[in-house]
Amino acid sequence: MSSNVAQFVTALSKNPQAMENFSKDPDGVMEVHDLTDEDKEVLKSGDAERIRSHCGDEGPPGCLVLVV
Amino acid sequence: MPPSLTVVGTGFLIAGHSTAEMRSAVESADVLLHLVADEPTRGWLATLNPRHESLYDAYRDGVSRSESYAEMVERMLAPLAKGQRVCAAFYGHPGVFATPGHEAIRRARAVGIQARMLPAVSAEDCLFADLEIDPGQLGCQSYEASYFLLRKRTFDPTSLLVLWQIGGIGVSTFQREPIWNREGLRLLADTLQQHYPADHEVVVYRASGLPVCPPQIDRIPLSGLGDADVSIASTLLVPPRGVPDAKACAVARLGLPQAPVRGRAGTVLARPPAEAKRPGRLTVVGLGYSVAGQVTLQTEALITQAEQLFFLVTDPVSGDWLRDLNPTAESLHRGYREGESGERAVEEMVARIQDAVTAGKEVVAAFTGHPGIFLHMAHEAMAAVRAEGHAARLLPGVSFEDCLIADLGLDPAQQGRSLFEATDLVTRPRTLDTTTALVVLQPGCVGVAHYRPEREAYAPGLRALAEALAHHYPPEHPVWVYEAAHLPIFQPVVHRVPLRRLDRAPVSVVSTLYVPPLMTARRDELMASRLTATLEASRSAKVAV
Repeated sequence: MSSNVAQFVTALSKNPQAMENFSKDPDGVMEVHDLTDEDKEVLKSGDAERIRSHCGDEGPPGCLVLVV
Repeated sequence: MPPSLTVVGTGFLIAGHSTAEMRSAVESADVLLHLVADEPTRGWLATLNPRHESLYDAYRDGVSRSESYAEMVERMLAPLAKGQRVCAAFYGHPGVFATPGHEAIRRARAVGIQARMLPAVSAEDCLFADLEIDPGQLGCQSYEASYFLLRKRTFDPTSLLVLWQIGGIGVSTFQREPIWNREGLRLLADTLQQHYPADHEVVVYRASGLPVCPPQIDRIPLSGLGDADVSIASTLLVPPRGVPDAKACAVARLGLPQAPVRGRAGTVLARPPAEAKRPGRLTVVGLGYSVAGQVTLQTEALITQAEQLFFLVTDPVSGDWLRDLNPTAESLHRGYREGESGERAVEEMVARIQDAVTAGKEVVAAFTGHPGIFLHMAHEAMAAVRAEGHAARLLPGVSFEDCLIADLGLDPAQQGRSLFEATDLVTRPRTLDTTTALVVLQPGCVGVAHYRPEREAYAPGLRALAEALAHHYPPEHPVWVYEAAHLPIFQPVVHRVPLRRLDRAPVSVVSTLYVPPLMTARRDELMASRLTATLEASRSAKVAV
């Protein structure tokens, strides 16, 4: 579990410019944040499930649940 | 302060989809309960209110979702009895595919406690934005996938079909696997091929929920759906099989030269945009309603950072607020002139946006509501700047339907939802599934092809719409006429009338109609047995059939 990754993606979600900077130069943007090599590798994977899991995801696997 | 319950949604981008009114409700609560999809969102909510508690532990292996939901409702109500102000935050829209918020509000109000739901960006809002689809163009029917299969129904394959939870067909218990019933997905694929050709292109979609990951958008032939990369959070979008010919008599009666189709032909399922070759970009955003209250953090940041801001709003206050945020703000509203064709006005407004992008600027165009839903101009503007080699993108906002769901206490997932633009419904031979909720857009503008300054509905068009609906519903069937509140000091406008009086109802040009289901769709016993057979291999799952 990495709270630093959670804080990093939360900061990006509030700031579209930072989000864009990350998509253009992920290494440069991550360099100035307190992230481990493993954090950086997971973030660059683009795998949403892996990133959620790395953040210590407690959420349900689906976005939607319904009683049928 | 008296006890109160406020149910809110976080959207699907951690903090990025949160609205100002949502954050205010979270921060001011005595108790914050939450059910969110990831740890970053949970952590962010904790920074807003330290008195928080997760509802996630109501989900347990082998426990039915209905039992989990009942527990959540009790946990939302318990602090109210102690006189506390409760805020319950759910991911996405709190009233869509989520019954606990609606039920808790109903029970709190029943004992005299103030309770309300605030609208939020829904999963469908993200789908429409990411796929750049306008559901108002040719209509859209939306069902939970199990419910779609298990009930006998007639639907319209010439409008969009959206099916939710295609990875969990027939399963009612919480599972930890990514896909809960692969065989159920294959059964769905087979069933759909009775209505569409095997090579019909469909989209498997999943919002990523993280700013560092793109959404999943897999375009595949329908015949490949059974083996597609699908999880419980995946959604299926089936584009229309074709556009039905207009009914000549209905078009002539409205005095139209032809049946209007908003948007360019062939853009129902937009292709991925080519890489931009020139500087200058257009970002299209939605402001929601309620002036600044429903704008998302993501959108507010983009508005502030834009080199040129254009806006088109339906209230007299938002313009000043936008100019305060960004001094470059210019209203597009002067593009409308009385008696002028809608197409001409759109062309002029698109040209203004295009000129600014061509000059190399970062341009933001902001519109009331969700910018992709029934906003022909937004789609036209994006197509125009892309044709010149510039980039364009569309971001989701809180839509009129999100407000309607929150204000009327509806869950469109319960029995499905059909959405049609009123003129389309009158002029084309649509198959209406009257077992779903029906939302009709622009009932006050049926047959109106030119800009008119009047706020009241165009009477001949409203009469034609009432007659069209009377072919499907009895005269006493209730119809809600709804207008979202455009200012925080106002309440939404809601009138309930029998269908026989719709032509005399207080319908305006910004009204939306909600028509409740006429009946519950009959259970399909043959399909139920086939679906049960798909679950035999998974003995731990409680089946929903």
